[in-house]
Amino acid sequence: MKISISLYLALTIAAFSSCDKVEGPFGNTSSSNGGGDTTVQIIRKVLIEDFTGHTCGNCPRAAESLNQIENLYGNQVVAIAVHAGFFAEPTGTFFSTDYRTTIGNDLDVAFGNSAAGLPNGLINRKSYDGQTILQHTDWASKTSEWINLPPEASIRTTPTFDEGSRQLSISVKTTFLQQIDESLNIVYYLTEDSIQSAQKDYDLDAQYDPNYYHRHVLRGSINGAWGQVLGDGVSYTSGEELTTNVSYSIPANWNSSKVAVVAILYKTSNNEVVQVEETKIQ
Amino acid sequence: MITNLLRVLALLIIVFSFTKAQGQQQSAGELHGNFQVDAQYYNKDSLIGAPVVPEKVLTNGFMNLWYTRGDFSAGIRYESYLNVMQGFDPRYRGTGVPFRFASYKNDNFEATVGNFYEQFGNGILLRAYEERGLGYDNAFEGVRVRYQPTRGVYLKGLIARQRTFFTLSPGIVRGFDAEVNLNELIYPNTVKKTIVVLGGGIVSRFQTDQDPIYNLPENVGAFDARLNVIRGKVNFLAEYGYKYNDPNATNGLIYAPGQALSVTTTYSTKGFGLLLAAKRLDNFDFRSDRTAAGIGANINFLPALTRQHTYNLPATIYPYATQPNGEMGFQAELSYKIKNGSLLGGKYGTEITVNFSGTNGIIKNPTSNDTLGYTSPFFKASNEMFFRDFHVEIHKKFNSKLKGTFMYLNWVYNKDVVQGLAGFGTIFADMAVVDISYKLAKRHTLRLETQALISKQDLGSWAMALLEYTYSPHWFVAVLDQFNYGNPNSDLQIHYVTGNAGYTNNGNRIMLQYGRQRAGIFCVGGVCRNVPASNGFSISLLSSF
Repeated sequence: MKISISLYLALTIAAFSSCDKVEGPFGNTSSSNGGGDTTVQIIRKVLIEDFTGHTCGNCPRAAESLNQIENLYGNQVVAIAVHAGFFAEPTGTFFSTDYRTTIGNDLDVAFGNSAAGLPNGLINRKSYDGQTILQHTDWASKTSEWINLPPEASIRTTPTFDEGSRQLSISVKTTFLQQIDESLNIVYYLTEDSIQSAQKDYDLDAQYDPNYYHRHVLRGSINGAWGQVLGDGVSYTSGEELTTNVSYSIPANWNSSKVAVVAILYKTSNNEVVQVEETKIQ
Repeated sequence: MITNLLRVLALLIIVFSFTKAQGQQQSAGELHGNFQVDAQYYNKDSLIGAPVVPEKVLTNGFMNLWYTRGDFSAGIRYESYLNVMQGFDPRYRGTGVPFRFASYKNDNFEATVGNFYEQFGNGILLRAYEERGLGYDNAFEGVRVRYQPTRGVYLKGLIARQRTFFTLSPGIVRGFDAEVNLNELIYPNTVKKTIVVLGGGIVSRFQTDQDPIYNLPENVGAFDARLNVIRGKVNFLAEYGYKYNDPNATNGLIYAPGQALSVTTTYSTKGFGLLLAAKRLDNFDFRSDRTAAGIGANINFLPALTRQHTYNLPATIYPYATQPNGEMGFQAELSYKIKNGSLLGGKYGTEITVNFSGTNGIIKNPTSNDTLGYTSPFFKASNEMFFRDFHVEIHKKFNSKLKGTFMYLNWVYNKDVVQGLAGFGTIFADMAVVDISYKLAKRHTLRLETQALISKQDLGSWAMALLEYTYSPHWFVAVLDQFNYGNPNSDLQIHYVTGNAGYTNNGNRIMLQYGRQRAGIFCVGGVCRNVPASNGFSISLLSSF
């Protein structure tokens, strides 16, 4: 039994020696580059999709986490709030607005977010050790894994918006900075920022905020939930440039000064995001 | 049919495994297992808000195969969710073999690799278990050794990760536990009136910190100490746990340490029993993934200090759930049997149980640094009431054919706190249960259960009735109606009727059910999930071999 005793000792020592006491400071002092000017310097951007609903009283906590991450990384993160599932259903007088979209519902069904319990989200739609759906307390660390990776492609979106006809035309130029030997899809979502309406919030005494700002709300898509295959769908060489032109009529009830187009380039095989770009249409 | 198929399969595995055994005269070992499949066909039912299920039929299926041969054992569990049934976590998606192990054991040593379940003491520090009905399984995957160096000393050690659905949670759990039975150690050959057992464990979780905002501890340590003294009819059990700084999703990323204390004393003699218990929890949610919420990746187990009811209304309408972020509770139970032949006891005697349990919040004084959380006086509870359960239960056998259980319950249930919601407030409910069974003839029993829940709050009052006919030992058929007659919204005064029938024989069971199930919102640790209503036909098959 010599072996078992030494095994024992090893386990004991391992267990005893394993406790970190953090005495403070609790916050990390290092700060990131905060993103850069997209027109000059190409950087990798990270897509954070926050699945939420206006009657989900714990969801404002996720929005706060998202806001912290945006403060840290600036325009290096692109946020989308997907209102989906039971908690996004319109109900009563306060929560009568329906922020659900068919594409948001498609995403919700495909990734299983609302069924897994809200709030939660996706970071670059990647599966981390088998877990795609992530709690908001995990978003910052999963985002940080991407932040310093070199970009594989750049997306430049040039929108033209005619206020009279509310017609939006966009020219999207994708430039590859590295060789990619698999099929990629590109999809163009439309988001509207800072829509004011009620939101349940269990941290408030009133339990809801009648004038909550719903940030980055997913409103629609120019080419469906999953977009289309970019180029030949086989391989993309470094330096290759692909330009696409698309158009869309912005509904009258959207505040066009708050609308942005979010172009997402992702791997067809596993949905993992390669690059993302957000551009306001005005 | 299915069991026969399995037996053939089992036989094939055994034959295949041992055709190469070098002619040794050994038994081929034994294979045991069980098989379960639950399937439901979902109907449309807009009245109760049942969602449309595109697949129409959803199934959960399981098979355990356990092989033992001498000191060696091994096993696997296959699970299939095609697609997972409503009401379960959708991250159970697809099929796989999430549980497999091999183990060797001799007189004083045991080693297991692969998956295993484990418990230190009562589980305040560490407990892995499976509860299939809830879709809960936090099995470890790694290495475990158990060792008994001398009589009365039991040691356990493990290094493992934990199952979360079809993946492993990111943290690595290291645990060590020692239990010493002083009687066995000091007086191995005599029986003493007093038995003293001491125990203690250490658990540490490693998870990398990549958080750009907080400086999180990568190794989080926790320990517990236990004392069990048994003298005659008295049994005293105390367990204390402490956890170092563990900012996590459940506690809102605070760095304060956690504590837990549970003390139970029981006295039992023929016809009389007394239980007194108290507990305190403060920031004691411990998981192998600090970002996990809802159910999943739990290292420890914190049961509610209240009786687990089995009657339908008390068990399902307002069940209490432990608040790991802070609660203080107590429970007292007295059971007494009035003797046979006495005036109240009648010919067969009468059993009476009186139980009272309650849980309040703890006082949280904010600190100057809100990252540290709060400070809390250890022996004081707050005035915020989470739960109260007072009930009296009487078992009475009237004659050789007729017997009954009668129960009265009075509850206070803080729905906002228990379910993590807001705006529902505290619910006061009175409940009564009458359960009568009558033996019609040899092997034929009829049972009628009626229950009522009277409340002015929330969904109002409920009534429930169940009629069950059993032809033992094989057959049963039952009809159940849950009626929300007091719902303030008259459109929702709905009957939830289900019919059941089942057949059991030699470890095989088949059960059919048709009816409606109500919807509910369930929140755990700041994550809320809507478990949808359903209407449909379900079938459940269970077979052990």
